[in-house]
Amino acid sequence: MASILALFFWTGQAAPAAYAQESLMDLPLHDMTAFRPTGDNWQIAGDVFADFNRRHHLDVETGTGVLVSLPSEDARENIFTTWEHGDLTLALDFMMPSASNSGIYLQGRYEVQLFDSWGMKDPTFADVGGVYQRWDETRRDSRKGFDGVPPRMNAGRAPGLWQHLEIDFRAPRFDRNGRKVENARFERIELNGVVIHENVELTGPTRAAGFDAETPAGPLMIQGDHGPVALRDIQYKRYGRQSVRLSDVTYRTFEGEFDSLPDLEPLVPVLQGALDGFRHDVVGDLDRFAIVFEGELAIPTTGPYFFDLGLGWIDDDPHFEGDPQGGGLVRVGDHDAVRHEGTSPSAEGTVHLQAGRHPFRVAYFKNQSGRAPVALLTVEGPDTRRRLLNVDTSLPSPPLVGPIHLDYGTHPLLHRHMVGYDEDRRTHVMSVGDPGGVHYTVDLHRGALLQVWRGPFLDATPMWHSRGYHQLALPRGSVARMAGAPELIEAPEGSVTFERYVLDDAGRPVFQYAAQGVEITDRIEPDAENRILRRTLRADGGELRHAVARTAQIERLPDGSYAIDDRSYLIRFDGPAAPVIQPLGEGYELLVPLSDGPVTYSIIW
Amino acid sequence: MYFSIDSFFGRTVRGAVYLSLLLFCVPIAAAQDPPTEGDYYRIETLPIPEDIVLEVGGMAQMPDGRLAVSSRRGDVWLIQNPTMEGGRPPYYHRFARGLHEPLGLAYRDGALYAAQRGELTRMRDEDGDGRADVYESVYSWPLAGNYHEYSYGPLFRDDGSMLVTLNLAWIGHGASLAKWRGWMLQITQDGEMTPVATGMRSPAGFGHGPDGSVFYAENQGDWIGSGYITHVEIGDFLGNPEGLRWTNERDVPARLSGLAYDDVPDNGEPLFEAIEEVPSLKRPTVWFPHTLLGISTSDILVDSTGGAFGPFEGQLLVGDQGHSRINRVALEKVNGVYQGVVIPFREGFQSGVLRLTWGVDGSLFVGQTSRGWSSTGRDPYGIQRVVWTGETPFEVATVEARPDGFELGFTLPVDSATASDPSSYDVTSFIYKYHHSYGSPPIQQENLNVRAVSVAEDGLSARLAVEGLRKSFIHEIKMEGVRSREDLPLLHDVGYYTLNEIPGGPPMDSAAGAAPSARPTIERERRAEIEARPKRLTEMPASWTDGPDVTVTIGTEPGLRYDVGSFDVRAGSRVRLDFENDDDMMHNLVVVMPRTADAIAQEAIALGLDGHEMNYVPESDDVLFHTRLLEPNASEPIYFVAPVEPGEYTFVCTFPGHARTMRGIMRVVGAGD
Repeated sequence: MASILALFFWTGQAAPAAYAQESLMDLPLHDMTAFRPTGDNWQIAGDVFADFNRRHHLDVETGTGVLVSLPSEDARENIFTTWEHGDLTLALDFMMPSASNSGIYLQGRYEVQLFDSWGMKDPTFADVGGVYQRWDETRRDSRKGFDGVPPRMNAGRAPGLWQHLEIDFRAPRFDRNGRKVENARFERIELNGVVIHENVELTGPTRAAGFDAETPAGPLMIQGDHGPVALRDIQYKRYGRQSVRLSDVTYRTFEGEFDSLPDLEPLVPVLQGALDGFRHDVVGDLDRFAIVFEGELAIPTTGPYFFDLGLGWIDDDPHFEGDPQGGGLVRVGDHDAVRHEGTSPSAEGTVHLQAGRHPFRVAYFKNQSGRAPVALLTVEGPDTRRRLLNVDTSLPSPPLVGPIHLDYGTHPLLHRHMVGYDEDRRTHVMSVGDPGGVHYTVDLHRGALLQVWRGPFLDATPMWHSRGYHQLALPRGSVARMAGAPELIEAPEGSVTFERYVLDDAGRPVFQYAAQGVEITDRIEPDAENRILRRTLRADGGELRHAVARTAQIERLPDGSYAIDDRSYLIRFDGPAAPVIQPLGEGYELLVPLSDGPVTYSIIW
Repeated sequence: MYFSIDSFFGRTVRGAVYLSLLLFCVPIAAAQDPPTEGDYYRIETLPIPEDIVLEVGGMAQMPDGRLAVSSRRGDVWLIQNPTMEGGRPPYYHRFARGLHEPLGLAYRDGALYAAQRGELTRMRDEDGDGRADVYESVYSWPLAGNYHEYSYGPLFRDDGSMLVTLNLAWIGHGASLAKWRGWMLQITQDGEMTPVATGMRSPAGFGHGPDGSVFYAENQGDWIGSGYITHVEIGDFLGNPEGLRWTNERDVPARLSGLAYDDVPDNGEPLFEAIEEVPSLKRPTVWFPHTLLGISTSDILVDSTGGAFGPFEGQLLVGDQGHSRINRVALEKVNGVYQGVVIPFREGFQSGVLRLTWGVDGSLFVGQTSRGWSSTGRDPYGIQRVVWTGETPFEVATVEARPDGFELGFTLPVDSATASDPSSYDVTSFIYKYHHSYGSPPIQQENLNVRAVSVAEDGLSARLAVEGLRKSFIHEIKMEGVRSREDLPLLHDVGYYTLNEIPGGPPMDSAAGAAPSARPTIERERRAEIEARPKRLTEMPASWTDGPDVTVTIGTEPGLRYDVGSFDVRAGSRVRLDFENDDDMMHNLVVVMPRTADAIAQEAIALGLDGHEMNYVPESDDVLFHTRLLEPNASEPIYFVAPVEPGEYTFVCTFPGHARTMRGIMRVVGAGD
């Protein structure tokens, strides 16, 4: 278990969550054939642009790939998919124009609200990500609306940006006579990388649902009558009621120090027997061993099947030195589904399988002392959810720790820590939590802005619990990540010296760096509405070029701002500046010359 | 001597004194029990506001009497009235925040300086609001990101430059993953850095000696057989070779230039023997035998109070994090080399002792933190101060080497009958292995013959003639029989003298007579006996043809805990118990009779020098079964037949300091249950 947790903590990025699905289907958006006939407000577009200052503004370019609703007096219909669904995983990008309103209705009945809630501090059920309330006209006044569930926090972005939503939905269950025996549930909703709901029960259809009665299946509905909205990259997976089942399991355990998976057949097992399923705990006390499980795997539907074998004792610290600690092989029929080479705790693979029963074999070895021999085997099929094949009662309970949260008060809170960044970790880092609820992290070694977010500040548990094995502090809101590379063109990696920061009257830091004999001053502060961060840079003693962004994609938008990274955030220059976009490798960089006159730009997300 | 209640009410008397009157001052003469440490050195606890998590990392005394304290959570607190004058509580004011685990703090010319994980930082309040508003990076060093890369300091030198020390990372062994881990660096106010010395593993404490020279304290671990303090000079290689990775860098002292890990012998012979092959390798100045005088040395502070703290002016106080105690070191220089004795000084602190600082009144502030290492003092953190009561304890003040023995200096005149009797003393010499493994048992142990003792006329010193002194060895000197003229026993009757050099000069007049010859080395016999012990069967008995009836696996968790709280076995069943130590410290597992764990743990501590070799398992009928002492990342199975008597038996780690938290229950249930 320790190692599985460590996997999370080394970079601060979680191992794939149990719900993240491998093989979602694309909803085709080259034309309207995926949808039932609807009003003229709906169209397929190539691109859209929403000026975040203009209410309900949405410009449309012709092309394909984007689904748009522009409601008018005459055309303001909702839209339904041609297909219906029960249990469903849904992932999509959406863009809200300023002040606009829409919603995603699962089975046409249960709404996740889409709304321009940019900067809203205390979101309600009616804000983006809210599970919208139900409505009963027969109730008295304020009681008409009920059972709405607000998101845990406002993870929404500025109007005009693409936002990412993931929903795991469990349909209501009915008995033979059609009587509901179990309510529908949002098992999990994630908005822009933040889990905003888990296990929200739906007692009935929410307000303005497409259908009143609840049934086992219904089409996906997108609200089109409240305001303009754009959606793209709609992906989904519908689940049947059958699951992958493992039966007739036997195992053989071999004691010894193996440094690779041996040919087990000539070996004499120390233990063997029959089991009720895959249970890693059958090795009990053994520390160094090899084990093989054999059985029959029932595959419900022909298609691709994804497997993951996680060997929890394998070190995930890239600095680890020593012999191989483990490895293994998952075989289904004649296919090698997973070859685990032991270089990290988890290995995965996908094989195409016919419906029916297949011989199944999992073998692995452990050559490490001290950590529990926890092996987790995950499977996912074309119409089955990802799940663990381990027998429930064999699973260890994770050690739970009361988190140590850091929150800002009346003054900005400065905090130095480490950050997991891609495969790397940044070790000289400062986060600044502003009383207005707008926060950022800078890499002091590179003089680079790493990330910005709104909402709660930091979770410092990984650096302050017990011996502080992980040294990380994790942002608690929805994070927009910057390139994190050195930002001065004339000063390559390693040549920027962080000199000092000075607190201003409000307690906000002004950072000072030296590079190539030039003094750089960097001030970052929120705007009056606490939605935007405004960054002001100055160079004294020379001229340097500052890379505002380095990314695969930079667009200059009609309003003069720059959209970064497929419109995940915007840069707007707030004073005199002469920015240019230049190609850089496969991508681009947005450069602006710095001298003793300040350059100010806003980061809008 | 003491203030009367009348004088307290009659005029202004310091409340702290009044408080101590109530709590501590039992007149010694009236007490029936032998005196305790508290009779001479009183511990007062500073109250800390509930909302401040003050895991102390650094402490600095400000000239105005305020105590500056940095915490693991990144704050710097200024504590007004830390001596609690007038019985008033201290006042806490936050000067700075947001630092990355500052494990040191120093004050100089209106600024505070702290070593953060990756940087030496200067903090100033320029707008006069009492809070730092300029945080300057004086010098920054790289980090790999490993949790064990602690950075300590700074220590100011007279020239205004500063010293910092950088801990090794832990990746199953100590490692220098980023430049200068394992080194001491000197950094000027302008940020010019010079590497000073390497070979450090876990250099949490360093400070000045009596003459301004620099000493650092090391913790037992890989290449470090036991804790020690060492006099650090430019170009020293201090023992752990991981930091040698950087000896080809610019500015490395010439004595270290090019020295590599592979140049260092790894054969388990003592460190002093390796010096023949590696001349820049330095012998520890004073060894602190592991578990006997602590388990994790920390801060070093020289008594510069001019007598305000008692009779030990010029000596070093050295903290111990794991054992929540302070030891005392009396140094001397022989043949130009520092060496000396370490003697217990004061125990019983509330948490792990990390930092020591003198208050303006000559009392000693003790900054403490436990933070996942489960110190003997149970609090997670705290600040206490030690105040000399004014009474002089009966102690060995000094131990000095002589050509044929030692000269002991006492704080009070000794009773010449007991002090001149050789049987009042017991001297044993030993040393530790020098190798890449974690820690070492004491090796080459010999009991030495105290041939004669001569006591000075004033009773303040005694000269011991000891046969078979060994250069570079540790000499344990026990003085259990010595009494003062008032018939008091020594407050601490043991010292450990590291005999790096044996001085020349005339031997002691041997007219005082001869004592029995040296006792034989018992090491080998004892080892054979231990190996034969049936309480630790690591192979399955041949008679168990069907294997064990039950197998239990017990691992460890951080914070000195087993990962199993309890398990059940049937009475009389065959048990295989696998103990897996995946911690970064040493542990054993001992199954004992119900309700005997505390007593056994105490007996384990009392094993003293023999503890390591005996796996910290005392000879006792209450000990049923046990593993050996397991180094980090090792495991051992033991086989035993469960007791026939149902009940709740305890399994416990008897490594000194671990037993309080590291224990669980083996429930033996009747065969019919």
